[in-house]
Amino acid sequence: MYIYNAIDQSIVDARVKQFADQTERYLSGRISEDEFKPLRLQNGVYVERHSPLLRVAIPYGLLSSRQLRMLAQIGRKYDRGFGHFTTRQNIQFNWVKLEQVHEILADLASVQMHAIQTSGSCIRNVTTDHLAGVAHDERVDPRPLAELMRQWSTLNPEFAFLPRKFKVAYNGALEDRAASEVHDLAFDVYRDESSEVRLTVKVGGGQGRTPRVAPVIKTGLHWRDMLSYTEAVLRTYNRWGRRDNIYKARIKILVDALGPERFGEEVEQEFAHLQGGPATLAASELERMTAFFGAPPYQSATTGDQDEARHRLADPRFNSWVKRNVAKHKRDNYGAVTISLKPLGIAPGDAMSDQMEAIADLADRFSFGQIRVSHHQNLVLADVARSDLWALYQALDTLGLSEPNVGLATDIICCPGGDYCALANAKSIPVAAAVQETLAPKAQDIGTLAIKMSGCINACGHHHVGHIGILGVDKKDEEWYQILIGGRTDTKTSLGQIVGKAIPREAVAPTIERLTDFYLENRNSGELFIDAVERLGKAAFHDAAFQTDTTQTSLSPQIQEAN
Amino acid sequence: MSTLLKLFSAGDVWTLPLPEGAFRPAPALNPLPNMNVINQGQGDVRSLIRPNVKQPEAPSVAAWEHGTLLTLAEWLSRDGASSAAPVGIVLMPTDDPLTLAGHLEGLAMIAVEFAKFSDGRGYSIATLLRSRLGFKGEIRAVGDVLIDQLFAMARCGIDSFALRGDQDVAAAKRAFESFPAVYQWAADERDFVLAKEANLEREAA
Repeated sequence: MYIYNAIDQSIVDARVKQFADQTERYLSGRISEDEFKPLRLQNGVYVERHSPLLRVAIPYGLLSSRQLRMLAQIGRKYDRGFGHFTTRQNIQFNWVKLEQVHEILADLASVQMHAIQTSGSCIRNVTTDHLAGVAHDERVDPRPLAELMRQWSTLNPEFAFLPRKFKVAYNGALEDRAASEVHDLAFDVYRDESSEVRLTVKVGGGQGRTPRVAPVIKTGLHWRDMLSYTEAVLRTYNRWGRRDNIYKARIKILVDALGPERFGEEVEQEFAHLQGGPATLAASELERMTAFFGAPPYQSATTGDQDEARHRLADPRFNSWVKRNVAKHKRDNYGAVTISLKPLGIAPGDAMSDQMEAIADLADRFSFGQIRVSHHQNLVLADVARSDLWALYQALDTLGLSEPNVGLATDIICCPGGDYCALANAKSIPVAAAVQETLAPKAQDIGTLAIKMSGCINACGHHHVGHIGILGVDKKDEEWYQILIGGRTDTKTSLGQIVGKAIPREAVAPTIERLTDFYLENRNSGELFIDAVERLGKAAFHDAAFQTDTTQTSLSPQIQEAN
Repeated sequence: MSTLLKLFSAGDVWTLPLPEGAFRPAPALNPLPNMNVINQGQGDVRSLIRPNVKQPEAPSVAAWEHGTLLTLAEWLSRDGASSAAPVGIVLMPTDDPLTLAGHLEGLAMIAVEFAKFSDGRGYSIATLLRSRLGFKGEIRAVGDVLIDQLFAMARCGIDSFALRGDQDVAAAKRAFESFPAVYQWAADERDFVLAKEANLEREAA
């Protein structure tokens, strides 16, 4: 992984000092609330329902065991002994004190971490495939480019006050595990015939109240021009993006207004001035960066327990865990293990400090001391020898972290919702819990099913791209929920559609159960839920789920506007 | 009175007095809000967030040391007519600086209006004036010019700063030293990390 040099460290240290000074001036009344707000946001500090919240950047989701231990320690010292992993591969602490944030930032800086640009109207933390570098279907490991983008975007002076937030994602594999097409800027990385790394550029994807799949605006971009081209995209957006209405300010609205072609031409005109200019990347720069992401010292002949098959036959739960939680690795004798943070009874994505420390230890023992955060809010040990799977499983089991449910109906993506978030219209966590509880007995039978839950239209829980999405809405100060089906982000991206009318909280789990029951009754052999939705049509699922429902009500006005 | 910070080169900052009309006065003070809870209810999120930028009707400053500031349209309509006094103009966030191509002769100062500190268009305007048009004269930030944006403004090629009336001058001067190094190219042409050629300083670090 990337290791800071003295310059990187000096920048992060200076940021800690700067924020301490800003906080001091704010608390002594020398900076107004309005003027402090973007300063704290660009350091990851929100003010939520109960307390300020600190969001810490985990660049493209990659952590060392030392960093995870520090996160655990921060959770214990400044929060209530836990942290929450987010859908943007970050972690947030829900109960911090503003006066202490600069101390937390100093602790983070001591392990080469920061909270820079984890919020605010700027270029946010860069995300990518949680299996980058180990995926069997990978064309190019995107992390060296993602790190270059992280550095270029860090404290970028021209784009510190964009019309709205700007999220960048990279995908270098056949299956898009980064949901890149619902980002403001998405790069598909591949090699051309002469093995040069090139990028397909997509702009204007996003979720929120105007969900969009990003259209392609540039193909065949050479990697050396990546930053110059990004500068052209951002300058076009910074100058012409709407600033009069926060809901019309994302770049997707500009792309919509101009049309992708016209937008692409505007960018191209700007790029013509920048190509070959000072943001051009040198080959030595990419080489330097690539060296940080080299393969760990894999063993060719694996030692230890060779008998994965015997244990799988003897222990059906271990067998399920291997099937669900261990992804195919580019090396046959290794597997990428997902540690599900979705056991029943825990808010999705939450991890206790003790668990984080234990996972850090396991990473040291079994996976070269590295951990990844997936946008599904799980943790991944990406390089585990298959001969260690049984030992790892047993260790996880004693920690309560062996839930064999990755990709299943109980592996729900869920935002913090009304329990924490000041923007939420409705609670998310208890709804997710009810759905998990209802579907748990059938989850293995149902198989792959991505359920994604957001407590408001901002869509932090990715409800637009869930096979089943759940959206909390506010109706006359009451919490109601809208169900969507048919969204996906795997080898193709599509947005889910709302089915039926908004329903009250207690109806959500039964309604989703009727959807899954209909699937179980009608699926073809080996057919996934999402494929059955595409074959049978959303209407059939709608009828199955809603015709028996007597609690339905009229569509919320907010939802009508959103669509 | 307020202060103009004039940045001659890195670390070389001078302070000059500014006349009334050449800077934005301090806004009325808001009481410090309760940081613990901002939203008790669960209403429509739209009511919680105000649009962050309103289109300004007029520049927040009308003058500089050498008299009245011209608007972009006024300057372009003069079409090269000479002037005894140095000429300064003010660009609004919606003005396109590229219309000044071929019309920079005789222009001593270009003020870039930051109608609201969170309106980032001025950064791109200044960048284009320096890097695209090659403007060598003074570029001045006017309007909502606050301590915590000075570093980014300077990086975008702005070299003078009409501080808003309430800003602390000593703290403002320190702000230019916020970061010992920078990652990316910007119009100030400062050395940066992601250099085109291998960066010797980094190798040594």
